[in-house]
Amino acid sequence: MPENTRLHFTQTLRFKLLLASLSLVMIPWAGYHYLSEMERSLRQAQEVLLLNRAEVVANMLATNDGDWLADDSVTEAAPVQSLYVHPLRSPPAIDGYDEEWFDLKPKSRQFRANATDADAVSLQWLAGFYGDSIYIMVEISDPILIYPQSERALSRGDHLLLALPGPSGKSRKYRIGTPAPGWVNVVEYESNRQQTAINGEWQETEDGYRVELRIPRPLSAGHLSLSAVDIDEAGANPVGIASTSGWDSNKNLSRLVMPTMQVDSLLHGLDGKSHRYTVLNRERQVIGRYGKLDQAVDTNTLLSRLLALLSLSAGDRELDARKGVGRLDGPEIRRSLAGEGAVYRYKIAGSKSLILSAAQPIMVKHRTLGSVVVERSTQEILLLQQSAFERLLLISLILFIITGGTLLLFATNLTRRITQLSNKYSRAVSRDGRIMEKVQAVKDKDELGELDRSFSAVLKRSTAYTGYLESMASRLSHEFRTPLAMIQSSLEIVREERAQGSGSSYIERALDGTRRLNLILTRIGEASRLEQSLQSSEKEKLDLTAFCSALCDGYAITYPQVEFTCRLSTDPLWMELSPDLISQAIDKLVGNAIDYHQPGSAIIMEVENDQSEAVHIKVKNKGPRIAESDVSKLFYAMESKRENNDHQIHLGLGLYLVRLIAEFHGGSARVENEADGVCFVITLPYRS
Amino acid sequence: MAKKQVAIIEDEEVIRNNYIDYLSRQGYSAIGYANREQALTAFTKALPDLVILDIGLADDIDGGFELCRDLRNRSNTLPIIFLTARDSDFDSVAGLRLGADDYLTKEISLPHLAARIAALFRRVDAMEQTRPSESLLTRGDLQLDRDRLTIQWKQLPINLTVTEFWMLYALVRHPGHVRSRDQLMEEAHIYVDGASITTHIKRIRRKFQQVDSDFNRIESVYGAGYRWNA
Repeated sequence: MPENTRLHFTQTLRFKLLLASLSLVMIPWAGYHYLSEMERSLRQAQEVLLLNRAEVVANMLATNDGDWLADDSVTEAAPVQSLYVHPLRSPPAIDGYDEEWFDLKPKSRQFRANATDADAVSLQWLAGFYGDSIYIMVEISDPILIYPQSERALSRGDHLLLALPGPSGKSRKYRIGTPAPGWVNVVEYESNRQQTAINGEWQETEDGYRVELRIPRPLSAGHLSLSAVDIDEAGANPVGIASTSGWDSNKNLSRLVMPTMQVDSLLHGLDGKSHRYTVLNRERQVIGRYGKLDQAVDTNTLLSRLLALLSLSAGDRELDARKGVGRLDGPEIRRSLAGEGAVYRYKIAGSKSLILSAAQPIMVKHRTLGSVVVERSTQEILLLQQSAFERLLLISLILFIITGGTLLLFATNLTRRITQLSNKYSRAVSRDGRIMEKVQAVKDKDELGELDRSFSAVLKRSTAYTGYLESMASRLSHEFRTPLAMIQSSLEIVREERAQGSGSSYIERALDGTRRLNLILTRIGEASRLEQSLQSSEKEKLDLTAFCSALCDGYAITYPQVEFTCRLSTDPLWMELSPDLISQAIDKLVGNAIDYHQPGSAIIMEVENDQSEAVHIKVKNKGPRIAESDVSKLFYAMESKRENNDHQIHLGLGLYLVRLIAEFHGGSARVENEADGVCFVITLPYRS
Repeated sequence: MAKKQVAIIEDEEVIRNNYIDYLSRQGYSAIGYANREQALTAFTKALPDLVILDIGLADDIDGGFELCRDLRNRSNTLPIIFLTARDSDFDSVAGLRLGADDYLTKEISLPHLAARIAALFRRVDAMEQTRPSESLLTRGDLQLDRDRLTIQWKQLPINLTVTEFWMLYALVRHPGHVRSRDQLMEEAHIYVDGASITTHIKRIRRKFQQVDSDFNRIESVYGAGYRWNA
C-alpha cells in the first residue's frame, strides 16, 4: 500500500497547471509588440500627413505675393528668443485699457519672475504693429502695488524696464513708471533723462496693473526686452523681476517677429489647436507663427497612473526647445531650405511625447524663399497606445483569472478523482497484499475512468488468482487425503495380517509417517477453517480480567511443568469478545512461549488497560530474541523463524491466526524484544 | 448368527477394497459400490445392516448426500456413517442434518472405524432387545446408555452421533474434572485440531439446549479443556 504522504503544493498537479496558465503572459507581451508596430505605422501615417499639410501651407504662401517677406533679415549668430508682434488693422488708442486687444488676448504670452512660485510677479506680453509704431500691452500681476514718490525716483516703486538695441553692442535701457495711474514717465536708466519718443498709459487692474506702450519701430530695430520690476516696500530692493529676455547687451534682446498681414491672416486661418505652424525666411528666422502643441496628458485612470509611476521622467518639467525661439534650426529645416520637404522627430526634454516636425520649402519661381514648419505632438498616438495597452492588460488579467481559475478547478477535480482512485485501491488491498473488498469501477468515459476500469480488471484477475492460491492449500489437503487414506488403510491391513509376526516396526514407522502427514493436512486446513469460522463467530460480553485469570489456571493444569505468572488488573474489563477465539489466540502465544522459554523461567501473562482506550494482552517469556528484521514479518502466513528443527510441525500459521483473531476484534498483534526475552502483544480496543 | 452386512460406497477402488478386506476380517460381510446407481440398484432388493458413505462419488460431487437422504427415507434405523476427505464444518453439519449417525474424515484409522461400526451395531442390537440395558450411567438428570449409545436429559432423548456420544461420555465419566482436548480426541477415536473439538462441543451443547434452554453443564475451561459440572 503506498504511504499516503501529503504532497507539497509545488509538487501538485494544481500548481503545475497554474504554472502552465502563466503562459498567458504571452498575450500582453504579444499585444505590446503589436501596439508598438501600430504606433510606428500611425506615426508614419502622421508624418506623411504632416508633410502634406506643410506642403499645402507652403504652396498657399507661395501663391501669395512675394512681398510677404517684407521683414528684412538680419544675420544673427545664434538663435535667440523671439517676441511675436501681430500686425494690426488699426492703431490702438494708448489709454491703458484692453478693449482693442481683446481678439489677440488668447495669443498673449506669459513671463514669470520665478517659475515655481505662483505668487511671484508675472508679465503678460501682447504686442502689435501698425505702420511705424509698435504697440505693446503688458499686464503685470502684482498684488502689492507701490508707486514711487515722484517721477524722478521711479526705481523706488513698481516699474517697467525697457531695453532697446544701443550703440556698440550695449543695450539702451529705460525705466517706465508713474507716481499714479495715468500717463507714464519714460526715463533713461543711467541718466534719468526724460524720453519722449516712447509713451504709454498705466492703469491698475484687479491683480496688478496694465501698461500700454507705443514705441517707434526704428527705435527698436526689431529687438527689445521688457521687464517688470516688483517692489513690495517703498525704497526697498526689488523682490522679483519678470522679463521677456536678458537686457544688458543687444545680443540678449528678443527678436520681434513681425509677419506681414497676409502671412498672419493665412496662418490664423489654419487649425491651431494641435499643430504649430512656423514660417521661416532663408536665414531660418521666424517670420510667422501660429498654433500650439497639444501636450496635455490625461492621467486619470488608475492604470495610467501606475504606468506613469513606472516611467522615471514623468513629472519633470517639459522643456520645448523651439517654443518662442526667434530662429529655428533642425535637419528638416535645413533640408527644406535646400528645396526638399523633410520630417524630423525630436523629443521634448522631460516629456515622453515626441514632436513630429515637417518642413516644406516655399518655392516662388524656383527660388526657395523660406520654409514652412508644421509640428505636431505624438501625444495623441501615445494616448491611444496607452489606452489600448491598458485595455489589453485588463483583458489579459481577466483572461488569466478566468483561465487560471478554470484550470485550478479542473486540476482540483482531477486531483480529487485521482486521490479517490488511489484511496479506493489502497483500501481494497491490505498491508500484506490481501484483497479486502470488491471495487466497483466508475462509469466515467475519460482516461481516468479507463484507468479505474483497468485497475479494477487487474484487481479482479488478481483476486481470482489469489483465491486460486488461497484455496490451493485446502484443495491440496483434500486431494492428498484420499491417497493418504489408501496408504494408511493398506498399512493397517498389513499390520493386522502380521499382528504377531516380526518386522512390524517398519509398518509402525510408516503409519507414524502417515499420521504426521495427516496432522500437516489438518494444520493447513486450520487457517482457512478459522477464516470461515470468523464469519460465523459471535461475540459476547465478558470480563477479560476474569477470563484471563481462568486461562492462567487452565494453563497451569495443562502445562504443570511450566511456571506461569499472571499480572492482571484488579478492575473487571467488560468487553465484547469471542471467548473461544481469544483463548485460541492466547493458546497459540502461550504454546509459542513454552517452545522458546528458558527452562526454569516463568511465562508471564499481563493484561494492561492503558488510558488510550486499548487493552493489551501480553505474553512474555525469557529466551532468545527475535531479529529486528523479522519483527514485522512474523505475523504473516507461512512465516516461521524456528531454528531448531524439532519433531513438531511448524507451518508459521500460529501467529497468523493470532493476528486474524486480533483483527477480527478490531485490534492488532505485534511482537517486541525485551531485555532478555520477547513479548507478544494483542491490543484490543476498549471503551470504558 | 448371520454375518452383518456392511455396504461401502466409495469411488476410490483401492480404499474401497481395503475397507472391504479389513471389515471382512472383522467378521462382517462387506460389499463395495463405486457409485450411487450401483448402490441404489442393490439397495432396492435388500438393505444392508450398515452403510459407509463417501460424499463425492467420482463426478457426482454431492452423491453421498443424495444417497443418504434416499436411505433415510427407506429406513429410520439404518446406521449411516459418512467417511470423506472433506473436513469443512459445512459438510459435516450438512451430513449430520441428513440423519447420518457419524461423520468421519478419511484420516481415521481402520481400527477406529471398526470400533464405531461395532458401537453402532451394538446399539442396533440393544434397541431390538426389550430388556433394560445393563450399562446405564446416571449423573443427576443425565441418563447415559453405553450399549444403545443413547442419552436422556431430564427424561428427554438427545440424538448424538457416535463421536459426540463418546466425547460426552469422556466428560461425564469424571464429573468436575477437566478433560483436555487431546483426551477428548483420544476417547472419541478421532484426530482433529483444537478448533474442531470446540465445534463438536458447541454442537453437543446446542443439542442439549434444544430440549433444555437452561443447560450449562458443559463448562469451557479456557487454556485447559472442558468439564462436566454435576
